[in-house]
Amino acid sequence: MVLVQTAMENSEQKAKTAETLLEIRNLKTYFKINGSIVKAVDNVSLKIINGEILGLIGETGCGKSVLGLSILRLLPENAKIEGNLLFRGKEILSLSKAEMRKLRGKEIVLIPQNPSTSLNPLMQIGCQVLEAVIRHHNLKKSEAVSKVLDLFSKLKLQEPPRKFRDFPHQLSGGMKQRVLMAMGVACNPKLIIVDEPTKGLDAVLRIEVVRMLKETASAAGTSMLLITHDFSVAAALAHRIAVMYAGEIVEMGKTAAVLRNPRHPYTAGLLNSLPGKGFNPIPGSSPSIISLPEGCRFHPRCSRANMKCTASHPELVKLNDDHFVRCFNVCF
Amino acid sequence: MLLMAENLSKEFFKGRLNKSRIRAVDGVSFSINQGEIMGLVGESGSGKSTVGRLLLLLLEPTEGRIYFNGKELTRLRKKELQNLRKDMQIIFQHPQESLNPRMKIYESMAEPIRLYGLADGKSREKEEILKLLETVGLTEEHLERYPHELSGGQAQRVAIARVLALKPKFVVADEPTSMLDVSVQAQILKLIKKLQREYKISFLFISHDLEVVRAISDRIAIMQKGKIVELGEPEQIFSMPRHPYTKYLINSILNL
Amino acid sequence: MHDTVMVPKKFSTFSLRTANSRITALSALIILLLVFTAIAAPVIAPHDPVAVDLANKLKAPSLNYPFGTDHLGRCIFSRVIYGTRESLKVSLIVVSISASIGILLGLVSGYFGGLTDELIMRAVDIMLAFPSIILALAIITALGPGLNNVILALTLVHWTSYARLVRGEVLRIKEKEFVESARAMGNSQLRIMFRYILPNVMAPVMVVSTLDVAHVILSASGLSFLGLGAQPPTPEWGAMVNDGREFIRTAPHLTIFPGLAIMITSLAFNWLGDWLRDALDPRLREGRIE
Repeated sequence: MVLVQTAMENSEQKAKTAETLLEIRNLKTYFKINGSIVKAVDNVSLKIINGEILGLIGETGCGKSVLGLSILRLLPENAKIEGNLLFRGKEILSLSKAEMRKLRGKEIVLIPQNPSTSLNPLMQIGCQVLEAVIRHHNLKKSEAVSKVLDLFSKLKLQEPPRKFRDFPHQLSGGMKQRVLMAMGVACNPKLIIVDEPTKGLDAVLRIEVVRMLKETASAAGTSMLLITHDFSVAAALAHRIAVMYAGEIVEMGKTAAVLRNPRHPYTAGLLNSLPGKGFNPIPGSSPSIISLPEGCRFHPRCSRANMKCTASHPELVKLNDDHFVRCFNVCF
Repeated sequence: MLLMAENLSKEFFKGRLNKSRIRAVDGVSFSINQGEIMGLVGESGSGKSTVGRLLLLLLEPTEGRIYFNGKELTRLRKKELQNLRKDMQIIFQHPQESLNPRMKIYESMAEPIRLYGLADGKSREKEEILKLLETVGLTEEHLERYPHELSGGQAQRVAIARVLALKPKFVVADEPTSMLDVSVQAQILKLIKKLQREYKISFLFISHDLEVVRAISDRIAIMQKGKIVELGEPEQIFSMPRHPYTKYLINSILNL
Repeated sequence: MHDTVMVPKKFSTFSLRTANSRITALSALIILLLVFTAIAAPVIAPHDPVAVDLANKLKAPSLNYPFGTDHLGRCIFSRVIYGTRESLKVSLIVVSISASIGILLGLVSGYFGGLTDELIMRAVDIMLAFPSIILALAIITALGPGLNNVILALTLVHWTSYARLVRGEVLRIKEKEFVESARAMGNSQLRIMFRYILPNVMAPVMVVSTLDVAHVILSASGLSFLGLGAQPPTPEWGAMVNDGREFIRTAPHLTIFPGLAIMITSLAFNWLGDWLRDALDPRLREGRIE
């Protein structure tokens, strides 16, 4: 609870000195699978300002991870990206492969979803972080080693020299997550994309990871795109929240506003299905992005749906200065 | 009282010569009433899943006794135990992995029915399966699919329907929703509640998520390092936790 | 830094697989052709494969003798065609028997564990401690040359790889929740082994046995080349290569054609096995986006 309040205070401070770090305009990521086109990310626009944490919330298959990978252009060959991805004013989509490699890991870092399979099992973890540090800093080996140890202690990995020599299987899930984080922040990136940092972790580890992410972000003033399915994680960390459904953003706004006063029926439904709120499920299941319903993509599951919702597709509309909703019958 | 565990322990052997022993469950005693949902909470590695498997004798307990419906399970002969299996079932954490990937859903559903001869003839069998599907909220179109063609929530419903075919008295639910999305989790929890209400099935609901357990359980047991450190009704545990570990767990809940 | 980490495997092989499909089609075609040849050998072969015609010995390929004739004037084309029978017969028998033995022992070993497992796996270790071809040589030397003994020797050598493979897979599958659920339902041990575990270990077995066919064809030809396998006048590719050895400078067609037959056949089975490996690996199946 304390975490939530500080997150909100921060957001107000930072909004004043805002400078756009990443701007996504009409991003479409399509996959060609067996001759048909799958719209994994469909017309998404959003902004992340300096020092801001944006929580991207959605359920399995809504396209949130694909959105994260699209930013780094880490997609397979059968994917097609359209739209604009402006990072500090530069168009990411027109960068050459070499420029793209420089951008990844140095300015934009991805902390992948599965910490246990993202580390080389046959390499001491210190050396894995060391590689990242040496690659981006041009340091001598001894200097780099002390920087790694420094990072480890900053991320509260106990006994850094011993941890340096440990292999991934000797670490718990939370610690692996920290090591990946250390690799990520080793080169002071501007933006960290964190993909499902708490998936599969138990409550105790989850709060530990949340604290660590919070400390990292506030210490370095790094911006984050936090991809998660967990509202409480987003609530604790994010300044703003974007809710994704079937490839689209359906609601976006300040964290407190979205959580306390959800305007889209899907957001409201998700919140109501939390166990703390009586776990009232949303009827039906998420549509397959291969065959999307006509009109509003949520209408088959929506209690407020009417004729208009089945016939036409709603646009993302601005409700007030920072709250956007894609719905004809906004909740109040 | 439907089920009672008395001083239940399980040791695992490790190492090449079985030299080192790990006491995963250490003198656990509790009981579950008919139609009651008992929540079992702990961190990963606390031994909670082991307890669930011990109760069903999927693992052999090192020490202790289990009574089910007045019979001592650990003393039963193989044949008698086989007959009791019908009454005690389990659903798992990874719904897709709890179904045989090489069997169509219909085959998976028909397994328990055929195994115990619960329906005579193909048409009766199909009738029964359709009825079960309806109970868990699935339709006939899912029957011809393979497990990997279902979503996590659908697969979990199939797993529940299979178990229901046997009309069990007691079901161990081992983290049944931890891999599911929140909206799907709510659907499955609602379904479990419904089964408790309508069929008077007792559950041991194992989870690391205190909030989920609080929402669904009649009583909660908190487990740490193989031992139950606190047991009580949800309201009592949340308003007046006695054991320091319980307090620690409650403090690590992330509130909205 | 993340390139290798992040691109999901199922996508990275996506385009590769379509490129491979032509080779797969080719190898499937070759194998179909081989099977057809073996069955229809008497119809296709223009001459009797064992008929000696010393007047026409060591003839270069011509219309009447497409692959020429050997030192006894036998039609090499006809002999290569009949040789298909021998090679396929040996390899299919060896692979099917050794796979059956290996699967059964591996299944038992992995499922029951304990002493049973120790006994079976130590036996496998002993077999594997010998270089396989030397072991086969020793067995044949003891039993005497001949194709039937080649089959016996190769079977004794080959079952071990199946036992190991299956045991490993069983150990993995046994821990899966669906097996536990089958136990909780009250299925018998036998039913769990054969209905739940076995079907789930068959995919890698299929791959290995396809690759093994190629391996066995090579070994059998090798043994025949050494004079330990097929005895004259049986038309066997390895033995034919051996027959042609003396004439390799003057009449190379004696060795080239049976040699090519061995090469093409084992290549085709290898390609098919590689394709099967990709096709049966569920991780490589395209489809869902997470």
